[in-house]
Amino acid sequence: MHALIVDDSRAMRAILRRNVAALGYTTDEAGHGEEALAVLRSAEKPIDLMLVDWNMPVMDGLTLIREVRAQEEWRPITIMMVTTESELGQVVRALAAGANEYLMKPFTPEAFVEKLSILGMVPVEAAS
Amino acid sequence: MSAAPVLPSADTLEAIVDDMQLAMAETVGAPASEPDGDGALVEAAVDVLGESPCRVVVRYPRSGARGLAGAMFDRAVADLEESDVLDAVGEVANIVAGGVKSLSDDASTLGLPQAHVATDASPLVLDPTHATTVGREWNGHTLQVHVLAAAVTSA
Repeated sequence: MHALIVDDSRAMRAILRRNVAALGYTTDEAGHGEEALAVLRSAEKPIDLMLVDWNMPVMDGLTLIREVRAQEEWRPITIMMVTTESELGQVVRALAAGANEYLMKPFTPEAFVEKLSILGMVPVEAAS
Repeated sequence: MSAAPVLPSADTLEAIVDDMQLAMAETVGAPASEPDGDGALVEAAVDVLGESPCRVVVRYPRSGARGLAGAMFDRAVADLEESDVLDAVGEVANIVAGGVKSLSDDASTLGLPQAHVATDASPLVLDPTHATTVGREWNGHTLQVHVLAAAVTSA
């Protein structure tokens, strides 16, 4: 399983990397939406999961999700927004844009795994 | 004409900082203990933009911030760049600002974190009609969190 972590904070990317690595994922990273699209276009391994922040320079997470969902070959990717945007209206916008799940910062490791589990994105060997 | 600024109460800001600290403790564990350094502060700010704009400012001694960054990056403090430390405190400010933003209307948005090392502890305007302030011990260092009304931040 391979994940693409998109967040302008390198510290947050490091935290997310550790969380998904503990589940057996390998990772790529991007600091904003345009970088993420470049990674998707050039990825050697298919991306199974994207963790996407909302507020980023250059291209924000909501725009990125819309771009990803507009491409047929990227539609199978599971996308979870991981963001400080916590209002219901923002959650609805993200889901409408094509996010599969929404996790608010600050989050605990348990909440992170629970959300991925709901999505069926916790590999069996990690869950057992 | 913009609406009068609505600042969180001290109790509300305390609760937001509590949530951030608890989640960080569970997520990254306890940072390495760093001795007091040169008195420099790392200061990070995030603007909440909307009908009741405000600025969230987080200040943390650089020595504490280095320990925090080491825990977030899972690297030895000696291996950190200053940009790593600024990034880590900027993310803390971002998380607190998200909590503050959630108190206001749906139309508000968050700016991007801006962080720097303050070489002097120049005081912020702490008039309680224009600011809410919380001070908290965190890993042996005092974390200061201020929410400033936009009218103050533009002065």
